[in-house]
Amino acid sequence: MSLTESARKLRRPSGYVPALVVTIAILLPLALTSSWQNILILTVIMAGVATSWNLFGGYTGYFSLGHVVFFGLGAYTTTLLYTTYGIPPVATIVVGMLLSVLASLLIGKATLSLDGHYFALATLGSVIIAQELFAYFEEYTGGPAGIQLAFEPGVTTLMFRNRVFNYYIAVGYLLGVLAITLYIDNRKFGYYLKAIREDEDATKMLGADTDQLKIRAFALSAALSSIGGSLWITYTLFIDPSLAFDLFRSLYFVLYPLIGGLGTIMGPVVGTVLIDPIRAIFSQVFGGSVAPITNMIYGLILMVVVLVFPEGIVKRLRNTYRQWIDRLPTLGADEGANRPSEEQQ
Amino acid sequence: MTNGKTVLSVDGLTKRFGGLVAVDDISFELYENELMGLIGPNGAGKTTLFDLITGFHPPTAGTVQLNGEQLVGRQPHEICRLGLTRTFQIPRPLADLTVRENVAVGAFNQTDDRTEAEAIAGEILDLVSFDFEYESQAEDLPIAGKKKLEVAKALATGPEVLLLDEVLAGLNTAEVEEFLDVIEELRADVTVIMIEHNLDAIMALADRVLVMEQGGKLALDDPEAVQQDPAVIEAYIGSE
Repeated sequence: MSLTESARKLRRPSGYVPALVVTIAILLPLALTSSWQNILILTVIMAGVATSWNLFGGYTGYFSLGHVVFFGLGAYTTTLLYTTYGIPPVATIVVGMLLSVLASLLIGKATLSLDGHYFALATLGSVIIAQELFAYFEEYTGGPAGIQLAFEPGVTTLMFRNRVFNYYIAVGYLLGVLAITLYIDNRKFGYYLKAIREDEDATKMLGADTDQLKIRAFALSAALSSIGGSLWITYTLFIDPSLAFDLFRSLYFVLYPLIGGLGTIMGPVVGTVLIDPIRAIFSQVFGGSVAPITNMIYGLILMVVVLVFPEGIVKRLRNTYRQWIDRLPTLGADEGANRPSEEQQ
Repeated sequence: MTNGKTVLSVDGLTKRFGGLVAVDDISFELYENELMGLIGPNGAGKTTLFDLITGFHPPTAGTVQLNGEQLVGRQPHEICRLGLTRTFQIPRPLADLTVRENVAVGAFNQTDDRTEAEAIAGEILDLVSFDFEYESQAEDLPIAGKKKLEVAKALATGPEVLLLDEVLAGLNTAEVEEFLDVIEELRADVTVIMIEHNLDAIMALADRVLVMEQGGKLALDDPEAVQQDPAVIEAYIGSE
C-alpha cells in the first residue's frame, strides 16, 4: 500500500474512526492514576488472550476450556528461565511459545477428534493436570508456595517503574494478535476454519484436511496465548499453580469472545473490555469490602448480556455501527470530488 | 451410448453394519461424461454406497478406483482432491457464511488465492443459474436455494466425478425443470451419479440406471431396458 493510499483510507470514516480509537487507547493511561492503569493493563492482556482463543475456538467452534494451560506455560517459562537462569523475560517469550505449541500438539492430537462437548471436557481436564503437575514438581516450579519474581526494571525484563510501558506492550500484543486474526480471516485458512465450525464433514468433502487445519489453528492459538502469560507475569511478578492455571481465567477466555461475538475479529476485544474490568472497577470505586456483592453483580451482568446478545455484541451492533459511520464526513476537500468514481469500482 | 474411458470402477463393494448388509457386493463401471441414475426403494443402500465411495465409511469389502487410483482407505478430502465429490441428501450449507463464501470454500480446492476462489465461486453460481443474492447468508435461503448451493459448492471443487444425492427432492415442478436444465449443462464437463426418486426425471436424463434393492444390485442398464425389466417392476416400481 502506498503512502498516499493509506492517507486516503485514513480520511474516510472507516479509517479514521478505528485510528481515533487506537489513539485514545494510547493516550488514555496518561490521564489515569496507577490503580486505574492497573485495571487497564490486565484488561488488555486478557483481551489479547481472548483474541488468541477466538482464532481457534471462535473460528472452528471447538470450545477449548483449557487455554489457560498455554497462558500458564508462558508465564511459568518466563518465570523459571528468569529466576533460575537469569534469562531476560523478553527472550523467554519465544521459548514459552514453543513449549505451548508442543503442549497443544499433545493435547490436540488426543482431543481434537472428539465432538464438541467432549472436546471441551477433555481440555478442561488438561487445566487440572497442569495445575497438579506444577504443584507437584516443587523443586523445579516452586510448588504451591509460588515464586516472587525479582523486580529489575528494563526493556529486556519487560518490567517498568512506570506502568504506562507495561500498558503499551500489552496494547502492542493485542494489536499483533488482531493483525494476525485479520490476516487469517481473509485467507483460505480462515475460510476453512469457519467452514469447519459450520459443518466439518461437509468441509471435508470440499477438499479440506480438517484434522490438520484444526491442529494448526490450535497450535497457533496456543502460541499466542502463551505470549499473554509471559506479559502477565512480568507485570504481576508473582506466580503459583492456581494463579497461572486458574480455571476461572480459562473460562473468561471463552466467555468474552462469546459475549463479544465468536469468530469475529473485534468480538473478543469488545467482550473483554465491557465485562472484564467490571469487578475491578467496582472494588476501585466502592472498596474491597463489597467484593461478594460485586461478584454477584458481575454474574448478573453476564447473564443479562448473554440473554440480550445471544449472537454476540459485535454481530448485533455491526450494522448500527456501519450506518453511524456512513453518516460521518470524509475528511479533506478534494476527497468529496473523487468519491463517486471510487464507489463504482 | 458409446462407452468412453472408465473413470470410476467399483468392484464388490460391501458394507455390513452388525448383521445388516447395507451394501451388498456392488460392482459397476462409470464411463467418462456418463450420467448414471441410481434408484431404489428407501433403505436400499443408495446413500450408504455414496458414503463408501467418498470415504465417509470404510467398506467391509471391495474396491473403488478413480482413474486407477484406489479410493478405499482414503479420507474424504483426499478423494475430493483426486476429483470426486458429492452433495448431501439434506443440504449442508455453511450456514453463517454468505452464498459466495460457501462456494469459495469449495473453490479453494483449486486455488490458494481468495480473490481467485471468489471469482470461481461467482462463475459457478452463474453456471447453475443461482437466483438468489450471492451475498446473502446461506441459512436464509429457501430449500431450492440450499439445494442449488449444495451443487455449486461441490462443483467449485472442480470434480471429475460428482455424486448427487436427491437434489430434486423437495422442489416444486418449476424448480425441478430448472434444475434439470442445470444438470444438462453440467454433464458436458463432469461425470455424474445421481440418486433420485423422481423417476420421470431420471429416465429422461440418465444414460444408464443402476437399480438397488436391499443393498444389492437389481439391474444396471439403459433407462428403457430398466423400465421393462420384470424384476425391477416387481421389486421397485410395483411396490411403490
